[in-house]
Amino acid sequence: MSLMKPGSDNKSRRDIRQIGLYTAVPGLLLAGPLIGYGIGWWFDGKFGTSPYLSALGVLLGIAAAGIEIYGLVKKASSSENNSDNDTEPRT
Amino acid sequence: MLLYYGQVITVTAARFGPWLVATASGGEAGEHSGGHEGGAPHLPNLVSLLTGGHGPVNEWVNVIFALAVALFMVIVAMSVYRKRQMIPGPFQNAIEMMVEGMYNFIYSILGNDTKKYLPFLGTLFFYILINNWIGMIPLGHSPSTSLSITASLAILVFLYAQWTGIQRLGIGSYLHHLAGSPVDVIGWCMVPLMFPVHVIGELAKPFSLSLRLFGNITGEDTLIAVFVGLGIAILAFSPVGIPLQLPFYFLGLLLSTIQALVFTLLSTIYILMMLPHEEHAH
Repeated sequence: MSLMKPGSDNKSRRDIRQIGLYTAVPGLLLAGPLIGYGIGWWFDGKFGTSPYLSALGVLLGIAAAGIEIYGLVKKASSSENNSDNDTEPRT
Repeated sequence: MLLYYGQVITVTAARFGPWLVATASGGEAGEHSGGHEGGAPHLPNLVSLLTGGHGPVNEWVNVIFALAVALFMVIVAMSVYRKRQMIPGPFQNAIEMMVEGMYNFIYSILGNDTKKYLPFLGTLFFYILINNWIGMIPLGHSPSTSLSITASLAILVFLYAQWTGIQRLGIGSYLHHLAGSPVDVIGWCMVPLMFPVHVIGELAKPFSLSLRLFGNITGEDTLIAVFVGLGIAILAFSPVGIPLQLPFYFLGLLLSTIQALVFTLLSTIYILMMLPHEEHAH
């Protein structure tokens, strides 16, 4: 099997990646605080500290979502640049 | 071809329409189609047809279709592998084109690591794609409309990414990465805060992956089921049903493909984020 040039058809692949990234952002923004709240709520039940740990969990979740989105966009844009510059044929 | 497909859909819908309409209204007949009373409308599938909507088998409909898709993929892969030739026939050619496309797509993200992760990511893509599409075949059912199935896939990606991180970084560097890769005193002081933030961030990834796939495919299948119901409702005024759902099949095909691609793309990026930094700087 011969593999075609990875640098070919870059625009469509870049578009697909962008679609993927843009749809990932709201999901992560929602998932971060929810997971944080879930963990905080569990610890609140365990230690009887309701609602402080739930609130702290939500705050940490928001921070986690922000960091994850930043990392995601950074990685994807760097791989995007790599694919734009990559013209070496792979066989 | 499309007209034929539309006719098949319409005939199928007309045949099973009463079940569907009853399912939508939460009536007794809805139970025969394996539907959830009062829930979102959905089309009858092969399992509910064979069992009449009764019995414990209906509880396993998602698992049955998920296993059927897996079996189909195994059979296709084995038949292509066993009959592979230097000058490929049309079937081998089509499969090779798909594998090539997948390779090039993942190569643009993972670079030289592609060959190592292609079997997992490629299988994931085609499995999700067929899982999404099978709901659009008459008497088919999309396992992606079950949160259990999508969550299983997301947990699999999560475990694979974490395992990749531990394997490639080593347990010490993996924990260092989870602590936010501190380099100075301020960084180390922030570890008690950054560690839970990164753990929550890692857990948020499979959560968002599974919810996105589940939500999109459920919405798409419900939309098609609602328009099939409307097409049947037209029978009250017209001698023939109208395949009102037909335009939404094209939308469904597009969205299903995008969702499978998004799931695979994000899984690839999550794996990339676990690789040592210098290795993926290609």
